[in-house]
Amino acid sequence: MEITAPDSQFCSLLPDDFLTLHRISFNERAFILYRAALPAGAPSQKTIMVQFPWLDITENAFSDIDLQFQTLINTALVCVKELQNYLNQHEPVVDFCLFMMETNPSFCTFSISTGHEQALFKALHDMPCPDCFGYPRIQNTTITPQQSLAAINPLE
Amino acid sequence: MSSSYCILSPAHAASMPLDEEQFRELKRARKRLSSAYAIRHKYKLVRTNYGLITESLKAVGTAYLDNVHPERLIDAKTRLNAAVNNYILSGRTFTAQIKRHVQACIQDRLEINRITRRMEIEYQRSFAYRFVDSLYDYVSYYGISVHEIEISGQLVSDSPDAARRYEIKAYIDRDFLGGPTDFRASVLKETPRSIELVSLLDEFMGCLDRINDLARQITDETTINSHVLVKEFINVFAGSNGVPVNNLFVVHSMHGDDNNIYDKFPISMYVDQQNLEDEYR
Repeated sequence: MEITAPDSQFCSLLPDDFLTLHRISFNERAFILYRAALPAGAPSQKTIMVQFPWLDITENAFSDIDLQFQTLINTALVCVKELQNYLNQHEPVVDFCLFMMETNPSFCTFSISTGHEQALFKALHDMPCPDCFGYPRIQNTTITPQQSLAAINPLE
Repeated sequence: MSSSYCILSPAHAASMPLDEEQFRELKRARKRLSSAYAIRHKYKLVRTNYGLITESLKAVGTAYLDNVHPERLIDAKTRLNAAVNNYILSGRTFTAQIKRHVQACIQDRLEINRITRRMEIEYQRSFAYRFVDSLYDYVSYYGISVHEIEISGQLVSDSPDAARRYEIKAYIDRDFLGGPTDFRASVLKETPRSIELVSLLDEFMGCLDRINDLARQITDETTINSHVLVKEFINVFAGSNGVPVNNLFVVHSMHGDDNNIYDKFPISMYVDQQNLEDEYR
C-alpha cells in the first residue's frame, strides 16, 4: 500500500539514490539506507563494515522504543553525510562507496565497498569517533556489496 | 388466557387490530427480513473494517515518516491493531451466523446445504479463509494480530523534485503465533514464515464475497415476498389511520391489557426509508 510522503525532517535527510527500509516488530527495530544502484566496479570489490555502538542510550531513556528509535535514525542519517565528507576529504584518491547504513537501537553499521581495503581501513581507524557513538568495530570482510544488498530480505 | 394482536403506532397512539393468522404472517415475515438484513449488515461490517485497516495502515506509515508528532505514532499503532482485531471478529461473526440467517429465511434443506457446501469449499480451497478463521481464536485470546511492519521508500524516477514513494506492508509472523497448542495445528503446519496482511485479507474478502452472493441469491425471493407482505399491512394501517407510518410495531398482548405485552416487534424499519439495496449491493 502506497503512502504519500509527509514533509518531515526524516525525509529531508535522505540522500538521493538511496532506498530506505523501516522494519518494526515486537523484537526488532531496524532502519536500512541502501544504494539504489552500485557504481561501476563496486560489485567486484570487498566490503568494510564499521559498527558503532550507540552511546548514552538506556532502555528507560524514552517511554516508547519507536520514538527513541526515530531519534536515532535521524542522528544516523546525519552521520552518513559526515562519514562521506570525512572520507572524501581525507582519502580523495581511494575509490570507495558507502552503499549501506543499517541501524537498530544498539548499533549503527556502515558498509563501504572499496578496491583499496588497506588504505580505507587505515583512514577509518584514523577518523575521530563521532560523539554519539562508542568505539567502533571495523571489519574487513570478504563479502561483496552485492551479497550485502541481497541480504536485505523483504519478509515476503 | 386471551390474546389480542394489533399494529401499533406509539407516537400517535393509533392501532389496527390483527387476527392470529395475520400476526403469525407478520412475525414470519419480520423474522425473514431481519435475517436477510442481518446478512447485509454483517457483510458490510466486514467490508467497513477492511477499509478501516487500510486507513490505519496508512496512518502508521505516515506517522513513522513524520516524527514531528510522535504521539500520532502510538495512536496509529493502536488503531491499526484495533482495526485488524475488529475485522477478524466481524469475519467470524459473518461466517458463524450466515447459515442461521439463511435458515431463518427459507426452509428448503437443499438450498441451505448449498451455503454449507460453499463454506466448506472456501475452507478447503483457500489458505486465507482457513488462516483468518483460525486467527479468530488467537486474536480473541491475545488481543494482538499484526506482528511486523515494513515501510520501504524509493525515489520516483521520473520526478523532477526527487520525490519519494513509500510503501507500507504489515505482516503476521508464524513464529509469534506460537506452537500447535496455541494455534490450530493443521493450519499452522501450512502457514508460511510471514504473511502479508492486506493480501491475506483480499483473498479472504473474495471468499466472503462468494458466500455472501450465494446467501443473497438463495434468500432474495423470500426477502422480496416478505417485504411486499409487510408493506401491504403498513399501507392498510396508513389508509385506516391516516398517520405517519415510520415507527410501527406489531404487538401481542394478553387479556386485552396494553401493558401486559407478550410479544412485540418492529415492522416499518424493514420497509420504510431504507437504502439497504443501494448501500449493501
